[in-house]
Order: sequence, then C-alpha cells, then structure tokens
Amino acid sequence: MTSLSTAHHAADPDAEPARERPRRRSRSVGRSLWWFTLPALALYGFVVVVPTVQGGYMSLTDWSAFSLDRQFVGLKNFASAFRGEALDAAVRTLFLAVVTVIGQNVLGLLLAVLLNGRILGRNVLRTIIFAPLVVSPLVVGYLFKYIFGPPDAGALNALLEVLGFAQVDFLGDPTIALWVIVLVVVWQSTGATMVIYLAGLQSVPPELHEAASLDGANAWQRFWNVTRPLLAPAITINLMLGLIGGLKLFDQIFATTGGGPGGQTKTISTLIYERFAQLGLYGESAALAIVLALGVAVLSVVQFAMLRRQEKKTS
Amino acid sequence: MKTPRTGRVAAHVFTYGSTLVFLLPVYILINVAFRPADDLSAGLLPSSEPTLANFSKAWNESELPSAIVTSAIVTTLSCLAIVVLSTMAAYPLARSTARLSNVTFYLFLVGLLLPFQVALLPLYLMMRDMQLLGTVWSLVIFYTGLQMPFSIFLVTTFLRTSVAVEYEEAARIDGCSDLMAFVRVVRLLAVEAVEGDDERQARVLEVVDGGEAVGEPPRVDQNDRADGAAHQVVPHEPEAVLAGRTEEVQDQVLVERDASEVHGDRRGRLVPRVGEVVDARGRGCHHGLGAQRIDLRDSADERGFAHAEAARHHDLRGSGGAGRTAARACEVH
Repeated sequence: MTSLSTAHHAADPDAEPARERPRRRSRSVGRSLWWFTLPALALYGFVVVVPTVQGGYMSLTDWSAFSLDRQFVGLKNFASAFRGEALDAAVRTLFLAVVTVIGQNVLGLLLAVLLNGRILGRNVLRTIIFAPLVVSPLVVGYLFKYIFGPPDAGALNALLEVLGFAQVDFLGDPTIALWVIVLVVVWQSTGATMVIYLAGLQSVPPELHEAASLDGANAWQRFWNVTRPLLAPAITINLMLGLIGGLKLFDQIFATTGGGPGGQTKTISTLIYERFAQLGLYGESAALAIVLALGVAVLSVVQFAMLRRQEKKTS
Repeated sequence: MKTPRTGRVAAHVFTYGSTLVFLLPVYILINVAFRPADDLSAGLLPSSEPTLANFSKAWNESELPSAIVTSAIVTTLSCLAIVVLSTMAAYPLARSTARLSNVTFYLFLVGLLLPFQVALLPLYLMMRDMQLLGTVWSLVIFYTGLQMPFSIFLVTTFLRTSVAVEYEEAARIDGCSDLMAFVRVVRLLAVEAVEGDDERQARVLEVVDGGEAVGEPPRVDQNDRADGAAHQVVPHEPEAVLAGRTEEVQDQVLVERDASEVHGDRRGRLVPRVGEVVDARGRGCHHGLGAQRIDLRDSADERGFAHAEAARHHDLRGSGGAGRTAARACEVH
C-alpha cells in the first residue's frame, strides 16, 4: 500500500508541462512538497483503504463464523442484501437520514441566525446548544433511552403521570421509536450545524444588510436575498455531512432501541453490525456495507451536484 | 406591522426556550447521577437526599482511573498526529495544481463515504498480525487514519479559501523555498489559531454585533433625522451626524458652530446653553420633518415621523447603540 502511494506520486513533481494549463500558474506553489502527503496516505491506506478492499473481496465469498475456508460465491450476498428486512431497513435508513438532515438544518440555521443577532448572553446559549456534540453518541443514546423509558420507569412517563396523561411506551411503538431516534440525532447534531452556519454568517458583510434595509427590505427579504446566497457553501457542507452521517447512523439506534421493537427500527448500519457481530455472517455483512457505501456515495454526489448548481445560480 | 421590539422578544423567547430544551436531558442526567441507588424516581426533580456514592462507586469499582489515563494518552497522541499529518498533507493538496494532487484529494474524500464496518474485521486481523492488539498504538493508528479524510478536507478547504496563495508566491519571489513558505503559513495559522483565538473571536463578534446595531431600524430614524437637521442647523456636516454620534457629541458640535463666543465663556455656562440649543433643534426638527413627511411617507420607514417626540425618543436609543458601535469600531481599528 505504501508502494502504491509512492507509485502514485512518482510521476508527480513537474510532470505536467505548463502549456497544458495555460490559465493556471506555470508551476504551482507547494508542488515540490508532494511527499508531505505520504505519511497521511500511508496511515489512511493502512486503516481505511486496504481493509476496505479486503472487505470488498470478502463480500464475494461465503466467509462466516462457520465456514472459514471462504468459498467464492460471486454476487450471492448482494442478492440477499436486497431481500426481506434489508429492503425495509434501506427505506428506513433513507427516511431517518432525510428527516434528521431537515430537522437539524432548519433548527440549526434558525438558532444560528438568532444567536448571531443581539441576544442576551448569546455566547452561553451557543455553548449550551453545542455541548451535546462533545458527548459520545452512545452515551446520548442511553440517556434518551432512560428518558423515553417504558411506563413507570422513564422520566418522560413520570412527567406524563404527574400531569395526568396516560403513559406511553415510547420505544415499544415502532413509529414513536423511530421519531425518538430522530430526536436524539437532532438534539445532538444541531449544535454542529449551528456552528457551521454561524461561521458562514460572520462572513456576510453587514454593509449588505444595511444597504438592503435602506432599500426597504424586511427581515425575511434580507435573509433570503442577502444572507442565503452567501451562506450557500455552509448550507452545502451541512447538508452533505448531515446526509452522510444520517445514512451511516448507528450508535444512537444501537443505544436507544437496538433495532427493536421487532426489528422495526433497524437500519442498514445496524443490520451490518448484527450480521457481522451476532450472526457471524461476515460475507453478507460486507456485501451490505458495500451496498451502503455505494448508496451513500451516489446520493451525496447527486446532492453535491445539485447544491453546487444552486450555489452558482444564486451567487 | 411587527415592531423590532416584539421581534426581539420573540427571538429571545425562542432561543432561550430551545436552549432549555437542549439542557433538559442534561438536567435529568445530573439528577440521576446524584440519586441514591434505592431511589427509583424518574429524575425529574433533584433527589431529596443527594449522594456522591455513585461517583465514588464508579471511581473505585471500575477501572475508571486507568481508563482515563489511557484515554488521555490516546487522545493526545492521536490529536497531535492528526493535526501534524493532515496539515502536512493538506498543504500540497491545497496549493499544487497538478492533476495528481486533485486525484489524491478525492482519494481522501472517498474515505468520508465508506462505512467502517467493511474494514473492521480485516483491520483487526492486520493489527493482530502486526502484534499491535492490546497496545495504545493500535488505537492511535486507528483514530489517526480514520480521521485523515475529514481533517484533510477541512484544512485543505481552509487553505484554499482563507489563506491567499499570493502570500506564498510573494515569498517564493523573495527566494523562499516551498518548505519555508509552508513553515510560514503554518506559523501564521498556528499563531492565529492558538494565540489570538479568544481575542480574535471576540473581535469578530464585536464587529458583527456592531454591524447589526448599525443596520437596525433605529438607525434609519436617525439617518432621516439627520437629513432634517441638515436643512436646519448643520448644513455642512451630514457625515458627522450619520456616523452615529451620541446626543452629547452632536450637541457639542452644535454649540461650537452656533456661538463662537461660547469658547470664551466659562465652562459652567455651557450647560444651559446646550439645553437651549437642543430644544431649538428639536423644534426645528419638528418643522423640518413636518415639511418632509409627505415625500417620506411612501418610503420604507414609517416609524420615525409620527411626531417629533417619538422620533426623538427613538433617536436617543438608536444613536446610543450606534454610538457604542462607533466606539467599538475605534477600539478594533
């Protein structure tokens, strides 16, 4: 793998004649430092690339805890990845990703705009809203599992009882459990989107707002016509990271519902984990993981292209 | 029409409300942490007999102390490795225009998409074969390698967008090698990120805050009023008023302009005169605005001209804010 990256770079320095890129600078700054990427490439290759390629090969075998001799079975594992509960899980994964992305971005943007304005003690508020991000997703999951615990045990149910409402078995109902997961994710990651939006908002020159308000634009018009186009890069980053994170969602589900009740909150990630760690179906879980990776890649490339086009149109 | 006051109240209510919602789980967590083991209440209220037993139990009966040390070592080493390696890698990726540099950048980005489950078992076997299992190094290597895509993405985009390449091109013309240029950029970034962090952040916030104060509606009142005043009293100094001085400053200007013999006077007598002048100007303002109201009514701002008293009231508040802004701006520059 190290030799691979070296081969990559052997042709690099001064390889391209200047005339190939007449608009660019003749010889770019930093090109002679190409070897600076080698340590990072080596580690990245060792930890991510090589094992992934190996895992990719394993997805074509019937490798499992019971057959360690690894027969080559072609695409059989992939075929089973599109049947039964895997398909449901895929739909659910998509749903969770879309809903959490929308939730955390709407809330994050709203809070960022407000906390960028004149709010009393806004630095404290920013810190509080960002704080959940520093806690491990697993811990957050367990905390919410406790809050949304079954009747007579969970904190929210105790509150419902005090207020005189009927208690609800939140995590025992597949639909509510799914929304609890959405809530956990939004609660934890809104701070991250908010910080990215805040950073974007600080690059919006106040003069533009001033000019717009002198021209009679109201707050919404100023947001839509001045802030939003300038925020486009921040929006792109947030939507991209949100979608990728949402599709790969695992910890929060693992901690709150564990895929239950009745497998109704399983996503592709939890399925991969289940087949890998609990059922020992290594080949099948690798196939699922590759399907997930391809899905994430395709969706995010499509999303990126759309957002870029939008960015260009508005700016 | 929504006044800025109700808007600001709504903004406060919303931000404080959502912050409370964000705090609620933490509040419950704290309550549960201090709850004695036999208390099975839900943790909505603080326990009647709070105890530290949970903490001492967690500390003594688990391997928490040694786990914390291990965490600290792993975190420190991984952070150092991530920062150093990703900055090194990001520099040529951000600066070089070679096609291979772009290819390498995207190779790193692909890592953002890969779900880690595919790689987990093969990586475990590789670590086992290298006898790294059970050591701190396996974790450091793991975290560093896993974080490379994101941190390289971050540093590369930062270098591309926030550090002008002209800086290094100039350095090269002065005879700097790429390596020296890199060291300088890193020093620039490090100084900015480490030394100036809090201060710089605060400054940015101040400026943004100030900018808003200027951009808000009260300033528009003041602006219009300045026009009115310009007709009446200070024909040659609209800028001075526009810049957002406080009431006192304006009055001083007026006093100086109106009566040059004031300078010869003793200080004590300035005060009543200031009052007079302000009053006169207030009335003048009223007339001026009365004349102007017809053309101004159609413009966006409807607030300031209902009658002169209201305008003045607004004005005091508005110019107070703007004055602060000006003062801050001075501090910054």
